[in-house]
Amino acid sequence: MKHRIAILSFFLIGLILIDFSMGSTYIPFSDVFHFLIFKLDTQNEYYTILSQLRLPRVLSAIAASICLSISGLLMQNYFRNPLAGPYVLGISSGASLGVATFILSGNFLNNPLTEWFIHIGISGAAILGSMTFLLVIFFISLRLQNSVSVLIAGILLGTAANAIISFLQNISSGLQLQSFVYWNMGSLQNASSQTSFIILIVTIICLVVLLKFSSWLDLWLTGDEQAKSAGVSQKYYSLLTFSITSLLIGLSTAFYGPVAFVGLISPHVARMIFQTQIHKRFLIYTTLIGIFVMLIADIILQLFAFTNLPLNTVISLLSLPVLVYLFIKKKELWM
Amino acid sequence: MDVAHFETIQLLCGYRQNKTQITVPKSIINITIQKPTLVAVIGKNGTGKTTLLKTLAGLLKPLNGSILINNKQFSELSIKEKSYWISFLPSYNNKIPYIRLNEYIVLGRKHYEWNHKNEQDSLNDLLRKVSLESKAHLFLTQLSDGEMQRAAIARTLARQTPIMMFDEPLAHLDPKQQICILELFKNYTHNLNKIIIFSTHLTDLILSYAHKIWLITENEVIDKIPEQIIIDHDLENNELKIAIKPWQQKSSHFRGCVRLVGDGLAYTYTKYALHRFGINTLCNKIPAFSVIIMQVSNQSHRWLVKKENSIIREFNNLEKLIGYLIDIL
Repeated sequence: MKHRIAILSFFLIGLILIDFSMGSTYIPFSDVFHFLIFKLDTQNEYYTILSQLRLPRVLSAIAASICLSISGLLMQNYFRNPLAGPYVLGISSGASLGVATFILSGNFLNNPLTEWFIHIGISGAAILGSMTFLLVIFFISLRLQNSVSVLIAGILLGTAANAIISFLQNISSGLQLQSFVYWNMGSLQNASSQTSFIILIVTIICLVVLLKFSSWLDLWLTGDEQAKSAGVSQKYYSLLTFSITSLLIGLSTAFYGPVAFVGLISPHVARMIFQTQIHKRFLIYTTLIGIFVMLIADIILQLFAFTNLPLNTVISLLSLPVLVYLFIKKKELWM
Repeated sequence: MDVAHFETIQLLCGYRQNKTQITVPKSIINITIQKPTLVAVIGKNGTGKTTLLKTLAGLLKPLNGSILINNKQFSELSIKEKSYWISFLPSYNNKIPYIRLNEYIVLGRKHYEWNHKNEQDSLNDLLRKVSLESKAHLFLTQLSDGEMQRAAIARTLARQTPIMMFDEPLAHLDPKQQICILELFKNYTHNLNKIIIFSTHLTDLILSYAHKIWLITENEVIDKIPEQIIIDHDLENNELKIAIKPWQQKSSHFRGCVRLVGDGLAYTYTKYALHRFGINTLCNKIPAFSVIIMQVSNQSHRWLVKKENSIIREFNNLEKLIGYLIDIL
């Protein structure tokens, strides 16, 4: 198992370097090395590109993927269902609805408001949206007590949210519409280094909290009654998973748009490669796989930099074959 | 922690459903346990064995009355404090994917006190007790249902709580393993001073193992020692012991008749089988064919089909013999 982590870490470092050097301008590895480890001369021709474009992008990729993969893991753990994930359960759509309401109904874009206000507004709306949807799904799950029905409810909620979003799009102005559509496609290039760094710190705090409570996640897998009899309170466990999931999904959706599928496939790939669900390790593995998937998606995106391909398109095309393969080849994956 | 006193006072279990109360078991329960005991809960389907266990384990709120442990109100404890006193194993335990057996036994052990001196030793010891030591590194999904059941039992025993409750622990187990688990339970009550309460349908088997029987009927909960249960015919009175229908099933009309020669068990059951397939062995006139049962060794027999003093066929399998007889008659 140890050599798999070593190989994965090796690949991750390689992917980060490649991701730094890829883009509309190719930057040699030696310069990337200098930029990351030593101080690159500010007079260097690539310095501005690396610090203003590439660093925010790579940080965004890492922050977004950790947010998504951890929330995917939490949702799959909570519902004990391999299909659960922020995108499938409609939580991302909830965040989108929040952002859509903020961008499309208000008239903020024309106002001379500071960029920070808009940022805070968007992230607040996204967190509020994802939290509301998560709560609705949570209450539905209490009444239904059947994970398949909960998934159906999640998909229906997502569809309803999308319907309201298209209604809002219909009645909004061209400028608002444009900025919403770009946001909705998902992008790692809008957030600044500072924003991504803050999100990264928040995700790492969440990860540490989850590692502290990893035995709750383990025990939860044994079933409601066994978990309760072992001393895990459903109330506190739900509070933990739901607050962290809505915070992470809200943050990542606000700044990187509703990024699809990373949350769903990272735990699956981690399970398959590392063959464990002991959460002390599984949380870390899932996070690493999440970063891996996101970096590959971003590198592919950079290969087609000239076409302005949306991030979601690449991730969907990349993950669908993986998901289909997992569900066909690894039937014992969950049940 | 040791339990000196476990008591229920005017306890009423059941569910609330849309403002109406559904009480199972139907009666008020007053039970006291004062020393390490192995208790078997028996009763027909739907009489409330599981509901009673879940209520005693603190997973369901009692509709009325209270549960006392060492004279303290059990319901006032937090979920975590409850978990120090009582562990509960539900009747269904899913095989969690990508969890190995040795990980499962101690899963989440950081959460409750794992008060063994040497973790690896006690883990191996537990696995040996439920005869799963050779499967320690397998995934749960690779275990059979019976093995999974034993793993779940071992996991509950590993927690070492003073009171342990099992819902149908003997389900899925083969007869040898059923006895192994009952011996293990008895061992835990005698040597580790545990109170173990489990529900089961194997009423005959547990009579000789349990110290106490709680028999749940339509209108009361009978709390007696097994010998008293037998003397009072409680099992028969509550349809928990059903007389098995006799083997002989005579076909209403016979297609033919053969003479059957033999003795002992082989003779009796050959006769039953022939009758079941409509071949009579008690004939009015002298039959054309006769079947002779020959014992070849202690455990194997041969069936010879004779017609007018000459052997026409020989079989070592009853089903094939009957197939042949049906063809020729």
